[in-house]
Amino acid sequence: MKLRSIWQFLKDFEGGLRSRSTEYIEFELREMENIFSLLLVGSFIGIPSPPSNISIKLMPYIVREMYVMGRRAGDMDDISGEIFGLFAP
Amino acid sequence: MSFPTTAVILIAIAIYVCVYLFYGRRVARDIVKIDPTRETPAHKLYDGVDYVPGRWPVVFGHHFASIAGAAPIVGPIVALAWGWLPCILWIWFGNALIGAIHDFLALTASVRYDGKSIQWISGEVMSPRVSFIFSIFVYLAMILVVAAFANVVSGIFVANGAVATASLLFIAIALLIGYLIYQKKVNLVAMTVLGVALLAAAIVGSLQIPLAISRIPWLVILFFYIIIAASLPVTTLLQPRDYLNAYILWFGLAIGGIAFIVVAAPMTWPAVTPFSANTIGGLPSPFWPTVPLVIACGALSGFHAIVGSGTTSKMLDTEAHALRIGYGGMLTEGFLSTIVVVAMGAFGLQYMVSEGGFASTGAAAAAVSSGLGAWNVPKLAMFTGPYAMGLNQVFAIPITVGVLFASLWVCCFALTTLDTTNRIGRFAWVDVLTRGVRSEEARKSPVFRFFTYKWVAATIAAGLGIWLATSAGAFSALWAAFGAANQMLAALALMVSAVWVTNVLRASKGKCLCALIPAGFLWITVAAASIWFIAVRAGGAPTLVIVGIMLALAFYLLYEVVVALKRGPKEA
Repeated sequence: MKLRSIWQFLKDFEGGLRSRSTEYIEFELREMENIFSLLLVGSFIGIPSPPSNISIKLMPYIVREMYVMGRRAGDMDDISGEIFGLFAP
Repeated sequence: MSFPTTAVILIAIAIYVCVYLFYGRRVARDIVKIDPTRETPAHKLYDGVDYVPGRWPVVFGHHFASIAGAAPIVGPIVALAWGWLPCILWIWFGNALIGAIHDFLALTASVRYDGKSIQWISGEVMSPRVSFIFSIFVYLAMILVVAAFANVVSGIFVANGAVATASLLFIAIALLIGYLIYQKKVNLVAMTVLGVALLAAAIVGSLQIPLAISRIPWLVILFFYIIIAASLPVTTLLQPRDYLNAYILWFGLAIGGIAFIVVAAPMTWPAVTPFSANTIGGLPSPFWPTVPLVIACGALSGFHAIVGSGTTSKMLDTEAHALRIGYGGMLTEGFLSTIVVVAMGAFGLQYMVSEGGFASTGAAAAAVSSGLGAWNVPKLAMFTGPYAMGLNQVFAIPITVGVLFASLWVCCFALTTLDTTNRIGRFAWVDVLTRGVRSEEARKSPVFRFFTYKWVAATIAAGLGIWLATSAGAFSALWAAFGAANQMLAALALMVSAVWVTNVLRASKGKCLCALIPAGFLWITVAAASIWFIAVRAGGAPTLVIVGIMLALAFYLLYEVVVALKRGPKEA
């Protein structure tokens, strides 16, 4: 049982070592999510995108994106936190 | 004093276990008041991307991979000019009482502030000016990191052409693996096997085709490499290389740890040398206050606060994991530095005889004991050589292969550091300019747009760093300037944490001392060392100017800390 726990720990630790590289992909994913949201609701802030009525129709389908975008907008005063954490020197 | 290596490693483990159980746990329970039932940002703000709770060993591995680079290896090598005993004592003391507390407090403060960075928290618990000055400080530190690591990489490449070949092959392998995974959608497991196999072939093959190029051309190549690598999409080079790096780190730590525990060789390196051995810039450098500038990340590191508060805090499943990840992560990095010291302590003199032209180990020991630091061996080889000797004795791995593997290990991390640091430098530059230029009109001007353009920002950071690398004089002087930036950043982050503990957690005066004493001690030590660095002109003029600016900023931040502590808790 103990050996199995140690093996599980080593496996998880090794996965953690690799997860830093996985995070770079998540960074790209975040950027794509941001672009997707701007494409859908960008007309509200003056970016040419689908007409407002289409954006409003799509709103129920992008609830999660809107929540995440709202939080990220609040995080913009701490951009260094995300960048420094990701690209650790 | 001929301690066996096993004894040193066992003493290190005993110390780390004791401080973790009897000091770290107490700080967590009595001062930070860790509450496993309190919701962490990973649950409170769960979004499946930024905020995701992870199993603690995974978060620990992630945190450790982020904080452990080449610095905990390079620093102790230079510091061994003072002898292995003071060197290892500073590592243990710095780990247990300063570095681990620093990492833990930065991580928990970030958890309590919904995953915000320590820089943001400084603006919250002190003043927005502090946050702005913090970002200038970070930018200057990044320039010094680029300079120091460009120097490390070019030095390794000149000293051992096979490492240069292996590193270039490694970059090519990473590009190929990245292309096959992301463009051709080839199976990840197959690509991992292929990547590791190609890496092993590159290590063996590069011995046959070493590249012989001098230092300045390497620095020019690195200048272009940094700009391009830092501007490429992360999936092209950075991500696949970091993925393969993880295997190198894991393999290197595992076989090195086993080898130096079972080898039981005596520590023949002189235990103590003169108090002012020739270390920084080849000048007689007093052990105190200059030791943190040299050992740097091996004992404690300001960058850990940035990493811990930037990413790790968003992955914690429960506050109960903060101690083992924040505090334990620093102790694990200290253990890596301990292995470096042990490797050199056991085999350093033998390597000086075989590669440094010394007639005997006695003559090599006499050179080290005299404090001259004239080892006649490239500094990094003082780790890679002894490390390879340890592997040779235990696993019968040929020394040339062991040296190449260890050099590649350091080089890969140094190259990744150059790449990521230039990315940070780019963002930090834009951050400083955006905070500094408040007028909306000015921000729209072509000049502002030019200087915040991605390629311009990347070129400025790389250009300043490489220019420093070519003009800073001795490597050890540049390394010490980097150490000063890193350690002062740690002192400042610890001070912010101390203000948080005092003003926000409202810990009693006695308990606040656990953060205030190490913060004050570290600040005084690094400030004194920086003054010494400037007074004796240890580095070139540009390095002295940067260290001078950072010192002035550190004094201002000290003033802000005193004001914040006197003011007490901020009104809501």
